[in-house]
Amino acid sequence: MKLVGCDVFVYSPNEVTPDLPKTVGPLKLELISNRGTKVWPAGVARLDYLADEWRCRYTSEGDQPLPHQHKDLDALLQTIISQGHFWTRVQVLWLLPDGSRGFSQPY
Amino acid sequence: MSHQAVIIRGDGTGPEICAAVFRIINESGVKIDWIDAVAGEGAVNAGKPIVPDETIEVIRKIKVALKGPMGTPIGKGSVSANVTLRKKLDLYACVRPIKTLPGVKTPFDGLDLVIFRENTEDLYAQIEYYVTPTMTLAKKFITVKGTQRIARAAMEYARKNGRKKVTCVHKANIMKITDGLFLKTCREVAAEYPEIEFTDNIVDNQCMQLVTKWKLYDVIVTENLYGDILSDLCAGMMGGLGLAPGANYGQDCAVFEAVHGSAPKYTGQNKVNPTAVLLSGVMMLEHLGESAAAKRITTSLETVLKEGAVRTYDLGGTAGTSQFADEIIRKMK
Repeated sequence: MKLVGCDVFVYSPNEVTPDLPKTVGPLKLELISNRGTKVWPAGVARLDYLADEWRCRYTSEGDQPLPHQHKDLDALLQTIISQGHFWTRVQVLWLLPDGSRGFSQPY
Repeated sequence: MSHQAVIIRGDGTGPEICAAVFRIINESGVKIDWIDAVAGEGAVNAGKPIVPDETIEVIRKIKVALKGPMGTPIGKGSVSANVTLRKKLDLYACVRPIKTLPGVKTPFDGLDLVIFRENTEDLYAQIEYYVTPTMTLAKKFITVKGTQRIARAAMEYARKNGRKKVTCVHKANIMKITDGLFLKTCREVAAEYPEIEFTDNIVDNQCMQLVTKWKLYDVIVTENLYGDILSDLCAGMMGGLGLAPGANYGQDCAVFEAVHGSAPKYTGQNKVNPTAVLLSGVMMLEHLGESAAAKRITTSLETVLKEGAVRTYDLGGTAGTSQFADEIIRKMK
């Protein structure tokens, strides 16, 4: 299994989408979802209310294995904290042995 | 009066069922301007997403849709068309009326309840991971707002329809935090409706109670996964999925749907019972304020079922989809 990113769950009340860094080292902000539905980049989905926890997915370009593994994730979290965001949970993202993503996509 | 509604004809036997339902609704005196949209296997086979963006956009614009049965391609990475529609349109209330129909023999005489299933939260958010090579994890979430709105929908329905009792189904004895929040929030909302009895029950016991003491239940409000299971259990109790209608309501949009599959092996054979889609269409007519037409169709359908001379194969008859529709139309005249 290859480590290619992480989902950072960020607390942000009052239906305000957290303004997170788009790139930190090899990690790029791929999407933000709320209640399991993608809200950034915006698509056709529209939610009538937004929960106060946001799933923010950071992945490497082309799902390449992270060169420094957890050090890359540590640097991302430090950057997010330094910008005043409050993360509640972090889930590492793996590629399965067959190269497919071992994590689901939001609606 | 004339209305607009989006129609998703669906896969397999969906188009022939929808054709029969169009004819019946047309004979009821309501003029519907049907706007076609695609989703399901048909969309995927045409090289589109399982629910194309244009389908979401047209439903959001028209606000009402009727959906025939759809197939979901089985295989890696394929998402459910039904769940995608619910999530992208935020159709938070899945409503399933469960009632025994005249002439349809079941061991559950007098069954008459309505299930309100929360449609957007719980384990159905599809937040799943391999956390190690040998362990997987699915995240269940329950929010106060999400629970408040489904609880309020159930209580309001009970109030408007003269229902006496609402039962919250959960598993808070084990999942004390997530299901505990669902139960606590339902109780808080129910307190605003003192004229309606509010009870709660754990889901496993509820299954047993439903098949032994079904007359004790009136309106059920529950989470997504439990609602999914209870709805099909109750559909079986009323005679099968071919008879069970369903509706998904959001803040602005509503999608009315058959809850059964597309029965692809019967495609083109004019064989499948259209009752589930027809009764979903009846729910749509009521939503559009066409109660008289809805009543006319329901009465005719019940007469045909009660007489028993014209029945589809699932009810022991030999009539085809179109013959069954013809007989309902004949009774309306």
